Amino acid sequence: MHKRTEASIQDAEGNAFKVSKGAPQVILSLAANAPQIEDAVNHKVLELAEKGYRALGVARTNKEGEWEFAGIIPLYDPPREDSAETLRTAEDMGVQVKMVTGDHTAIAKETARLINLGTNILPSSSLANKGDSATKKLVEGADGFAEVYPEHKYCIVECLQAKRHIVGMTGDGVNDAPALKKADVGIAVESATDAARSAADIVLTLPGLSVIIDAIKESRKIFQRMNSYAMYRIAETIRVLFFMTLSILVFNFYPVTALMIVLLALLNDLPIMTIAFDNVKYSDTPEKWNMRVVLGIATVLGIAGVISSFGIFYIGEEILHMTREYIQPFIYLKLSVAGHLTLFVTRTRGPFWSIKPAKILLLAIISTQMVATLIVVYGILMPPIGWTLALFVWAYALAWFIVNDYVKRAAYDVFEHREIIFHR
Amino acid sequence: MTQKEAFDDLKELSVADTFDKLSTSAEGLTREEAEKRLEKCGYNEITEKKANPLVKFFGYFWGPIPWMIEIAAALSAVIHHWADFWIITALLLVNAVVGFWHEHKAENAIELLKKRLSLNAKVLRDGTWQVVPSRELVPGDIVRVRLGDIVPADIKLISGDYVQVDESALTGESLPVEKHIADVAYAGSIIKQGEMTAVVYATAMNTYFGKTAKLVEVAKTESHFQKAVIKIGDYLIVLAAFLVVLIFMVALFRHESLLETLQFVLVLIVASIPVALPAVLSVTMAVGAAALARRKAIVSKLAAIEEMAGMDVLCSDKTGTLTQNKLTLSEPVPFPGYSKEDHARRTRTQLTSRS
Repeated sequence: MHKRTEASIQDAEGNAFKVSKGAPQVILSLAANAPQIEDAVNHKVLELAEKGYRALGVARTNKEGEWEFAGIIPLYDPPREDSAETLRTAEDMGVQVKMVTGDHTAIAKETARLINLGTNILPSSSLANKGDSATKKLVEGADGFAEVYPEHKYCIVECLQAKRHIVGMTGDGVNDAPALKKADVGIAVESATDAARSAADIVLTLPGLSVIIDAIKESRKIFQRMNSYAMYRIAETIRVLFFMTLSILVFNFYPVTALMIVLLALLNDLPIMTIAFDNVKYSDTPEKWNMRVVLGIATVLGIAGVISSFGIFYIGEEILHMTREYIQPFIYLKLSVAGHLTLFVTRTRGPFWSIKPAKILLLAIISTQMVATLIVVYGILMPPIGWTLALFVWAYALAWFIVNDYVKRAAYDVFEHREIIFHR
Repeated sequence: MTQKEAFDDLKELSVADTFDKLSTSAEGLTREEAEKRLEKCGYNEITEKKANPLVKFFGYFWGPIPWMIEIAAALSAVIHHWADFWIITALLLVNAVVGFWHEHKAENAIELLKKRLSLNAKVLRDGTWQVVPSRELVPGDIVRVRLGDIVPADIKLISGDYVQVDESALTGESLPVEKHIADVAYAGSIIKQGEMTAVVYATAMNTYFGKTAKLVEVAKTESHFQKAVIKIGDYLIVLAAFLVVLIFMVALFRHESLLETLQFVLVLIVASIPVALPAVLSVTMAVGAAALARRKAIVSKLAAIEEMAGMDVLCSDKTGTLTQNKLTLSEPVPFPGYSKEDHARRTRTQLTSRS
C-alpha cells in the first residue's frame, strides 16, 4: 500500500528534484531534518485534526538529494450547499437527522458545526456494550456517530429501534447491507453498490439529503391517502353490518337483497382505487397508524350512517308508505350514494372543502353513482323506483354528508383532546 | 468442475493458465460461445425468488375470503337465485382480475425502476469491443474496466498498467488498493484510477460479492404497515362474525330457510370484509412509488413508503450525502524555507503527475 506519491521534476533552469506528498508521518520519516521538526509537525497535524482537517505532508529534495519537509496541506470535505437548509426542513417535519461517518470525531464535529447539526458526536467506541440501556439512551441522545464501521451501523439501528423509533439509515457499501435491511427504511445513496441497493428499500439516484426529504413528503401524502381509505372502509362496514343486523332483528326485514349487497361491494370498491391519485397535504409530524383515532372516527361515522339508514327506512315505510319490495332499492341507493360520500368526509381532517379532491377520484365516484342511480331508477335486477325517489335519496344523502362532516370534526376534537388529557 | 471450485484456484494462477482454464484467450469469446456459456452459467445477477404469475392469479381464488365468495355463489345456484349467482361470480372474477392486474402493474413498475439501476460492461466479443448489460457477462469474457466503473464480475487483470480499486464496499477498507496484471478485482468494487483489460472468472452468485449478498437476506423486520392492515381486518372480521351469528340465530328461531339465510349472511360477510383493502393500499403505494421515482428516489419495497412516512430518526452518511465528497485544499502550512506559493505550485504539479 502506498502511503505517499512521488514525482521527479525538472525546473526551467534544468535542475532536477523530487517532490512527494502523503501521510504526514510517512513524509516526515523521509525527511533528513525529521528529528528537529517532528514535534512541530505532530502538533500541527493534531491542531488541524481538531478543526476537522485531514493533513497531507509535502516534501522535496534539496540540491544534495536529501528530502526536506516542506509543509502541511490541510484537506477538508466541504458540506453540500443545500445541507443546512435540508436539515432545517427535516427538523420542521419532525425528523431528527443523525450523522454517521467513518471519519474522525473531530472531522465529524466540524462538519456538524458547519451544517447547524448538534455537535454531540459519539465515537463508535461508546457503542461497545450494545445490550445495555445506558448505551441505548446515549445513542438516542447523540447528534451523530464518528469512526463508525458498517457493523456499528447495525448496532445504532438496533438501539434506536429498541427506543421505539422508526429508523432510516443510509448506506452505500456491501457491509452496510445488514444495517440497511435492519432499518425500517434502508436508503441506498446515489453511488451505492449493488449489494447495498438490493438490501435497501429505497435507492436514490441523486446525491444529497434533499431527495430523502422529498421522498418523506411524498410518502406522507401516500400515508394520508391510505389512512382516509382505511377510515372510509371501516365506517362503511360498520354501517352496512349494523344496519342490516338491527333491521333483521328488530323489524324482521331484510333491508337489501344479497344481490344488492354484492352490487354495493362491486360498485363502491372499484372506483376507490383512484384514491391513489387524490390530492392531499403532507403532515408536519411523522405519520403512524393511530388505531384509536382511525377506529374511533370510523365507528362514530359508522353509527351516524346507521342512524341515517334507519331514517330513510322510516321515510319509506311510514311517510311514503312504500311496499317493502320497493323500499329495498330505495335503501340500496341510499347506502351506495352515502357510502361514497363518506370518503369525502374521511379524506380531510378539516371541513370537506379544505382540500380539493383529485379530478379522477371525483369523476370515478360520480360515474359509479350514476350507474347505481340508473339501476334503481329503471329497475335492473330489482323493482324500479323512478327519478323522483332517486333524487330524493340523493338530497337526503347530501344533507347527511354535511352533518357527517361536522360529526367527524367533533369526533376528531374529542379523540385528539382526550389524548392530551391522557398525557397530563 | 464447478465454477465455485474454479474460483479459488484461479486467483493464484498466471494469466496464461487462467485463459487455459476458462478456455478463452485475450481475443475474447465469440458471440455463440458467450451465448452457450450464458445458458450454462445463467445471468450475471444476484437472483431473487419470483412467483409464477399463474399461481399468483389463482391465489386470488384461494383463501378464506375467496372461499366464502365461492360458497355463496354455490349456494345461490343451489337455491336457484341465478341473478345472485352470476353477480357473485362476477364479483369474484373482477376482484381477482383487478387485484392481479394492479399488483402486476405495480410489480412491473418496480421492475422497470430496478432496471434503471442496472449496469453495463464493455466487453470484447467477436473481436470487437461492445457495451452489453453486465448481466450478460460469462466466465471467459474479456472486459475493459476504467476509472469510475463498478467491476461487473470477479475478474483477473490481464493487460494494462495498473488500476486502483476501491474495495471499501466489500472489505470496509477505505483506501484504494493498487492492482497489477494477474491480480484479481471483485465484482462490486470500484475502479478509482487507471484502465485495464481483464478476464471474467466468476459471475453472479459465485462472485465474492454474490456470496456476501447471500448473507444479507437474513436480517428482516416486520412492517408496521402489515401489522396495521391485519389489525383493521381482524376488527372488522370479529365484528362481522358476531353480528352474522346473531342474524343466523334469529333466522333459526323464525324458521326461515337455512340455505337462504346462509347465502345471505355469506354475502353480508363478503361485502363487509375489506377484501379490497390490501389491494387498494398496495395500489396507492405503487402509484406513490412512481411519483417518488420522478423525484429520483426508487422504491424497491412498497411497504417502505409507509415506514418512510413514519420515520422519525434518519441516520445519514456524512460523506457525499451531507458533504460534497470532494476533498478541497485549504490554506497550506509552510515549514521553514518554504512559502505558501511554493506549496500551491508543488501540489498542483504533483496532483497531475506520478512517478
